[in-house]
Amino acid sequence: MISETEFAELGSSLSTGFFADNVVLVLARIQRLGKLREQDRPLVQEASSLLEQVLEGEKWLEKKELNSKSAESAIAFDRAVHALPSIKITDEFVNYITCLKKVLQTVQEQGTDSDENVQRVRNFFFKYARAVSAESQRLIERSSDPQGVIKWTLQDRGII
Amino acid sequence: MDSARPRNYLISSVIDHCLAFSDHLEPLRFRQYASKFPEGLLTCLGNFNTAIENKLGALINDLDFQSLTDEEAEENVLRYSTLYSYLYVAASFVERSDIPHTIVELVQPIKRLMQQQCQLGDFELLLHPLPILNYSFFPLGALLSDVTTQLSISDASITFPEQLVTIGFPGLETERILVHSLIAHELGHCLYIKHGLEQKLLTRVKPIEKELDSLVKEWAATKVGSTEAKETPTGQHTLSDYISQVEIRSLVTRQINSISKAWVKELTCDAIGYCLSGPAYLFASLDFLTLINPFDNDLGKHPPNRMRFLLLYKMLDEEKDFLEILDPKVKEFLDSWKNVTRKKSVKFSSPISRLAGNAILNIYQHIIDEATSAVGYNGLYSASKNTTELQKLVKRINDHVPPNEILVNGVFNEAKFQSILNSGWLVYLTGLGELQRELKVELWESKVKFNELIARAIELNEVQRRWKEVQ
Repeated sequence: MISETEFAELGSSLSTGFFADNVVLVLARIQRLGKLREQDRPLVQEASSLLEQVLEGEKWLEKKELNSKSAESAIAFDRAVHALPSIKITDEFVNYITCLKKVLQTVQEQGTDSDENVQRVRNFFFKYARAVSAESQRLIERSSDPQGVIKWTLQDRGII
Repeated sequence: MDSARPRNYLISSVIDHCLAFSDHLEPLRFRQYASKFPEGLLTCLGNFNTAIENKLGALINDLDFQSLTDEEAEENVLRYSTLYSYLYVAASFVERSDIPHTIVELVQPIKRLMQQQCQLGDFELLLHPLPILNYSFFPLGALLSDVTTQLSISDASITFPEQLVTIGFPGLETERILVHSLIAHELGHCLYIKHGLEQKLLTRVKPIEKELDSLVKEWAATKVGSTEAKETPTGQHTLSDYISQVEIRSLVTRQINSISKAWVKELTCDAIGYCLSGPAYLFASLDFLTLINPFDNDLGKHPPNRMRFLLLYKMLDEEKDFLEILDPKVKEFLDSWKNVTRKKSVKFSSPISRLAGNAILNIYQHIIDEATSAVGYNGLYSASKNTTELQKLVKRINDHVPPNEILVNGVFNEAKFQSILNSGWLVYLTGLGELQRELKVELWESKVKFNELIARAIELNEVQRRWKEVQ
């Protein structure tokens, strides 16, 4: 059975996972209908806020200010990094997320963007949902502690 | 290939989870619980389950869902499947909070404390045993509400109280009522969330910026495989050859945020635990925490015990009048642990925990102030302001009378719930030799009898209060 600490984290990752799944569904709907439905606007806005959070998380080391938002942003940033394993360079990562955010901005302002652009955002949120699922799965399998990642990384490389 | 068929098969399999869950809930309705609340919760969970079943059924004809790629559709449906792992554990909390498993004596006093004294009107509790030696807290209501929102379920019959919490206690220790003074820490989590203490306190934690910067650089440049490197210096690699630049940034960012957030929360809940229960919380912590974690262990979600006890002793030091009435044996017990706690500075095993830990050590007074404010005037228990009550209760215990009430001006008044626990500890820590001799039993049995006496006092105290309320 999973421990309750893990259970609490599972609850949180489930909620985020459902959110990311919903974003994928709404983007699929935009592609199918060719426009944003009014009732889907709040979710697109939230998706845009999540991308902003990712960028804030990335910038955290510049300011180093701890608060409730910074903890959330750090998690969003980490999940986004896991969703984009092929991007290794920080600037490249920031540019990519900024581009996705611009697409969502266009969707909100003009009701849609090119199919290719909407597909890029959809792909990202699908991978983000996958990264959250992987977290849930690790929680169920009791090996999710991020501290463990550091320990693994450093121990395995003979540093500690 | 018709991609709709496998995804529809997945949906029907998850609907089977729904039906199995419904069957699972049914017998739980016939159990007996320490309050009426679990029955209502089971109905709510049942309705929630039906709403999910309907949502899943609707996906089969949903054009947007059917337009998803196979992978996207799979991801979407698997989320519902994972939800059932979650709901099944949630149901197990209800299952284990029934009368044979819970600590019946504590449920109502805890609810009274939180609902009336700490002003959490919709506080509800599932108190259940854990198969491990530890306590736990889980904000079940808030998280179920979150999931309900994400699923866009807006049925009036599905409303989970925000303050519905589950508290686990070590099943093996069920009868040791005094140790359960630690439940005050878990109650602290409710107040921590309710009063937004994270935001108030985290902003005060200031890790040393230069050290953090050099840490990121050091990690990126850290040489790996050093043994081999001595033989072949040119083959040496840095950590950034294995982990990307962006991954190192995200690791450091998530780690320092996660440790700071977790440790500030746990320490504040310790401070709230002390505010709610007084020194009984410290006594129980010394009794229990020292056995489940090495003194300087900083690898878990909790700060090392040394940090926790430094905070609690800082709070105890303010209880001047209480410290005056202590039996020498109790004083010796407290002093010996205080010496252990203060003899050495806190040791941290990783640079991240050192940076976070040292920054948190600087905000202890703020933690105490915020904890005191969150508990509020009515919830705060001061041992120093209750020395007379404590002394009278200690006398009753020494006379083998349950310490549920005290005589004031010829009238019996109910003792404070926390005074019962504190007086229990004050006698317990003097050793139970006399009780053992009188009862002619082994020490363990005298401890069991002693805890029973305190449990009866809590029960009688609650009966007296309820009696007054209905009159």
